[in-house]
Amino acid sequence: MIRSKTHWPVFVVYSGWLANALGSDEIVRLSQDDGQWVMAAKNYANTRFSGLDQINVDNVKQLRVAWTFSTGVLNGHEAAPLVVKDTMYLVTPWPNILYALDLNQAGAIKWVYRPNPSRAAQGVACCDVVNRGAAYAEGKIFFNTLDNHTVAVDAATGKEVWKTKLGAIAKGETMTMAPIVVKNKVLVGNSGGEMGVRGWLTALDTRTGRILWRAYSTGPDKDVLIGPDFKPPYVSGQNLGATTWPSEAAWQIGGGTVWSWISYDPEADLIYYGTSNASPWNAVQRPGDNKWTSSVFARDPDTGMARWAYQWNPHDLYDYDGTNENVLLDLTIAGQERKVLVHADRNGYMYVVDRLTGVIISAEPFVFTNTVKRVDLKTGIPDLATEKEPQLGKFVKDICPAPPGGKDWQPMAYSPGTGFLYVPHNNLCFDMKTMEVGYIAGTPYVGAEVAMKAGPGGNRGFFTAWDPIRNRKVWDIKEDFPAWSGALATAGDVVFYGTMDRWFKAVDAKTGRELWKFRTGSGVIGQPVTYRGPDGKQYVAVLAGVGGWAGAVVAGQLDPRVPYGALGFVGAMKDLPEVTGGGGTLYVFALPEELP
Amino acid sequence: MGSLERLAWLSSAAAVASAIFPAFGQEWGTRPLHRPGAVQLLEVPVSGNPIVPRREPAIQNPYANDAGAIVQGRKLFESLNCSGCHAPFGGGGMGPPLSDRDWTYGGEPAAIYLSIAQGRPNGMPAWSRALPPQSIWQLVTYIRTLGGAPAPDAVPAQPAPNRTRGSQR
Ligand code: HEC
Repeated sequence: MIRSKTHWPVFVVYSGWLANALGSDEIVRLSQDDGQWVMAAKNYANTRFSGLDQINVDNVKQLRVAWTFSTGVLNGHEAAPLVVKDTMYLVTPWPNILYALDLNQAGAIKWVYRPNPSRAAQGVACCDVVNRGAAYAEGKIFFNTLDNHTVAVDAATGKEVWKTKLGAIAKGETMTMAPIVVKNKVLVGNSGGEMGVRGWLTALDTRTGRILWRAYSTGPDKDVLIGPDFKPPYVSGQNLGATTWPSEAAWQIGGGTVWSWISYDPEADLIYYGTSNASPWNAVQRPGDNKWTSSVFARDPDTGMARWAYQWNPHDLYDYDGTNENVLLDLTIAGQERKVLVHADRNGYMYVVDRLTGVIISAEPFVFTNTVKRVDLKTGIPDLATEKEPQLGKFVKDICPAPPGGKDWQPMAYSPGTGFLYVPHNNLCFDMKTMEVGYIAGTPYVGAEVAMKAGPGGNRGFFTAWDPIRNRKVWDIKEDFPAWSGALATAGDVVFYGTMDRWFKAVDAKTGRELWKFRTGSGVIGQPVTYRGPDGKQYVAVLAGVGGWAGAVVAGQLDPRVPYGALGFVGAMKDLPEVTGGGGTLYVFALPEELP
Repeated sequence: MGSLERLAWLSSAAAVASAIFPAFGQEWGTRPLHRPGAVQLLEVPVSGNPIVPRREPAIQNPYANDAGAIVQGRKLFESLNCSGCHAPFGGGGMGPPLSDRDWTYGGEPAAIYLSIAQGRPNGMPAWSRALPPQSIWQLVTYIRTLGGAPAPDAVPAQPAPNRTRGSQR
């Protein structure tokens, strides 16, 4: 974890390791080394902050391309490159090619590993065939394939060490998330909340690929891995993952998939992750709270047993997944040292939560919302605006935020230097009509017609700096399109992000002033990273290649005239094909030789 | 879920659909049902570049221009979740758009019939064992109204654009 300002840039060293925590000890050490970038979110706390400061507010305008690399894939590139010693690892969207590039030789290919995922998997991926990245540990690269395999590849040779099948495309399951490795376990989850998939998180043995435990998001306590240690802050009762549904048949196909970020607090020895929307989108078909969809879980990584859970959006009405990242920070709030997780939910609220208990400390809107009026801090229940409730067979207009939320998967960064979060996000509203839908395995289980549009002001995205202690926006930058890339914060007080209309930008961490921008070949929805190269210089790397849910109109060559395309996202993105085509290219930037 | 189990789901979906729509599983309209013959099916062009022009006459859609079949086809398009993957009005999503002129496997009625019946490799399920031929023809009839048909055999719903799709699917 990273302590607040005063300790920066000194990172806390943890004590009290359990015997089998050695794996995590090593990963903590690697993630503190700014020469490398060993997991998509940089570190267990998911801060995406690098202590490198060679590139700073004064010289960043001289940044130029050092080398590039074409992945040969046209779909949306959401992954973060990994850097381990002198090698960079890239995983592409389907067909999920893993490239190892030599940093001593301007990205020469060391080896290529092709998992050859099933072609048919492309048809059940809800939102383009993306992959969000890999993880390094114990000399191996771990990543997921769209057709539900977790793979371990020898980082030095590119040889497959093991490959384990975890799900079935015939049920609509896919895997798109970036794993993390905790205590010799690879933690992975499934995607498919639009296909009536039952969500789970699974732990595999890093050495063998054997499944150690699986925690479902719905169903009875024994499936959800809930036992006597489970102390959710706002609710009580047993088997809530089953009793808050109309029937067993409903929770079996009820969503709660685990398709994005996992964080880990080694001191508390707890992992944190969110679960997706409930299935189907048409909420009339699933009366009840539908636990534990659209929720956050804290679990023991050894056993998978849940310690606490909190449901951001009970009985989700609008496809508000609860999967957005939980950034783990130690903050001084109202004079008290608090161990918190910060989460910008799809519902438009920024939550600061006590990560040991799950109690909400604050929840404030970070974007225009007319669905949730406030979050009751006593009960934890969001107070919904009844006038925006979906109606069967009738369009309800101008609901905000839209299904991708005030913010979707695009991960924010935190700088201990400024104390701000840097949040790439959306400004979208939508019209929605719901209807009865029948479950057919392997087909969408949605039951809604959706057309999205720009939110108030007309800009479809924002890049916002947020103060998590004062619970308020510090500055924001309006973006024409949703800001669908990850954010990167650096000790040089430069923050990086990319835009769908083909810019990669550097802005001043304190003021948001634009310092530099570069015209990429395709729109940027990847996660920027930074590292110290073998030559001692600081590099910044990002994958361009538009797509993802927001860019599906380009990646899937959809019909821009039909607003309902891509589950309604096309409505807001008709003009994207006019500003970018697809195509995956890695860009690596550095300062020119004579600098710094 | 095994393929048999999946098939069971599909058949039960078809049963649900036939309960909702009485015409499902029955012949529609007055025309005789045209069950495509094997030789005719083999001659459905996909490449658009025949070495020898075909001998058999092109397979006709038995429901071409049949307003009732369009209505039935649209209902099936929704109830079978085609609309979930291809979007309402065929704008596209998980599956490609069916509303533009760019067809990967051909926009002729028989080519669309085959796409639905046999499935296609990049994730289009095969429906032949879940649906009787008349339902597939009804779907074809409806799809041909979405704007992507080169020579519409039913009244187009909207003008087709002049865009072309790349080759990644
Ligand atoms: C699970 C998602 C899914 C469902 C459900 C689905 N499709 Fe498809 N469909 C696809 C995908 C993906 C493709 C592209 C396949 C390929 O390129 O190999 C496709 C292709 C097609 C094509 C060929 C398009 C072309 O350009 O040649 C037609 C026609 C079609 N689907 C019709 C239907 C109909 C009718 C239904 C309902 C009975 C349906 N689809 C249900 C995903 C789906």
